[in-house]
Amino acid sequence: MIQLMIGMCIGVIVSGIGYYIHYYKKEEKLLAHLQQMLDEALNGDYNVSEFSEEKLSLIENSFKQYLDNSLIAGEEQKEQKEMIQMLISDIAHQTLTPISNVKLYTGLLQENYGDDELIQTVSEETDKLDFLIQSLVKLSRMENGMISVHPKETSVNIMLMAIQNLYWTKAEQKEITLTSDFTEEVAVFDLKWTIEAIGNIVDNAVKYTPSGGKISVSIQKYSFFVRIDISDTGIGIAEEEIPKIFTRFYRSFEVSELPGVGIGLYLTKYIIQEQKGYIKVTSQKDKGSVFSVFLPSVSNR
Amino acid sequence: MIILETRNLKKIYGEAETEVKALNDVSICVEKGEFVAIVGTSGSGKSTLLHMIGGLDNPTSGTIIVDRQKINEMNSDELTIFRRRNIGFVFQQYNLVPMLTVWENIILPVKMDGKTPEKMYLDEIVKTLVLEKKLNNFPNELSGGQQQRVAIARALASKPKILLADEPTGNLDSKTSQDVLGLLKVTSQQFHQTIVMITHNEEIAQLADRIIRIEDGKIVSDSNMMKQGVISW
Repeated sequence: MIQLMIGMCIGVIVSGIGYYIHYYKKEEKLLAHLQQMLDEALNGDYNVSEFSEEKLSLIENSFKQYLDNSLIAGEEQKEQKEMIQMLISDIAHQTLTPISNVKLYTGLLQENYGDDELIQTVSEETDKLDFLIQSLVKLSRMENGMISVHPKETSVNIMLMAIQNLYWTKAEQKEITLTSDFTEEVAVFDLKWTIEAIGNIVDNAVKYTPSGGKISVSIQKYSFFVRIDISDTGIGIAEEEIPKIFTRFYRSFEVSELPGVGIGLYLTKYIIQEQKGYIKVTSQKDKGSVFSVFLPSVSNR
Repeated sequence: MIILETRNLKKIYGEAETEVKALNDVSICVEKGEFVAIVGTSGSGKSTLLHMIGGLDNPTSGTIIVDRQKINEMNSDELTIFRRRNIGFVFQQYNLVPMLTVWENIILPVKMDGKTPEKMYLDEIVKTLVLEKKLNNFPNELSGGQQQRVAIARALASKPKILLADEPTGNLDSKTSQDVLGLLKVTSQQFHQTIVMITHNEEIAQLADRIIRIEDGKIVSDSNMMKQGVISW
């Protein structure tokens, strides 16, 4: 009798343990499955998986619905963003021709009626608009991925010489000396776009440095980067303002009467970042600024 | 999106006459993807602030919100798990496990959370930090700069909401510092990683998008607070 009872007890315990293990394993499997779904969703590569007729699979199903919804919402958002970018790009392109016409006719007016002050103003404002639209075109092309940077091993000196050629006259007109180091360094960058990026910095330096000032471009080599310093003896930037100069359409109060649209440095930062480089700025009010551009060196590839 | 916020944070040591205010009413807001440097002399309270953001120390009063969660209300067990999943740390000491290879060190925090390391993401991190040739080496075979790069990769491996760096280049010479932090900066740009770094080194601080200066437990300047400047064509 006692033996039978003990036997039954053991039987109940064993089957209990059996059931426990069974459910435990099942739960473990479900949790693992859910974890996997969420991980996949987080990485954006979530796909439909198989489902059983089990009760617990309801949870999976709800999860899936929720994830699907957020996936769709994300895609819609992306599409909308692309549409807006396309719109900007279209507007920019469509305005290019009328603006060049306005420029042309303003030129003709100037020829016919001499240096009228009103015509002069129209001409200046048109130039501003032209510059803005051209910058927007570049920007929208870049953000749309229509123009992409193709970094490759390139001699830094070639770039520096191109910049020297581009801005030499402009600097000389303002009686600013523009000097550039000679270097044998090679870095990984897209020549055309980097000339644009660093050119913007040099252009700003010329703009914000008073006559008689100095702008120098120097090179320093690091293990993973080649550093290009563009130093000027200009008006300088307050520390609190430095992060802002790289944002779109930002212009300092202090230079609001000088021409500019506040897009150049935004573009510069964008181009440098796209090539896995970065920019650092140090500046002292009324003493000058140093813009340091770090381009990936060859060992960084 | 605001990823980190502190509201009227205070930390007071001692009482009455011996009272020291390590932090006195500090309120900051950090946006997702921002690279913020907190600069101050030693004893300014910058380390106290960082420790609180990382849940390593409790404030006397005030609120710390990381990714919409009030971490000052968590108990220490909750905090431990929260930290492991959401905060990446890089310290002056590299704290690498000497018996493990570089790769094993990097995936350690992911493994500790019982997850499978994401190969593709980690490969990208390793590549950006130029560690691909060192993966099978042991920490003692690496230079200081290399070890700190491994520590950065490890901190990024679990995709933390915030990376906290406490004098990350304190043990490195100035050129290596610039190199290591440059790579950190490029990584943060690439992965939109939020970074809060404390340092007393001006050179290093300038790499950040924003500099917060702290003195005697108070914020004395913050580039984000500045409302000057105009948006114009």
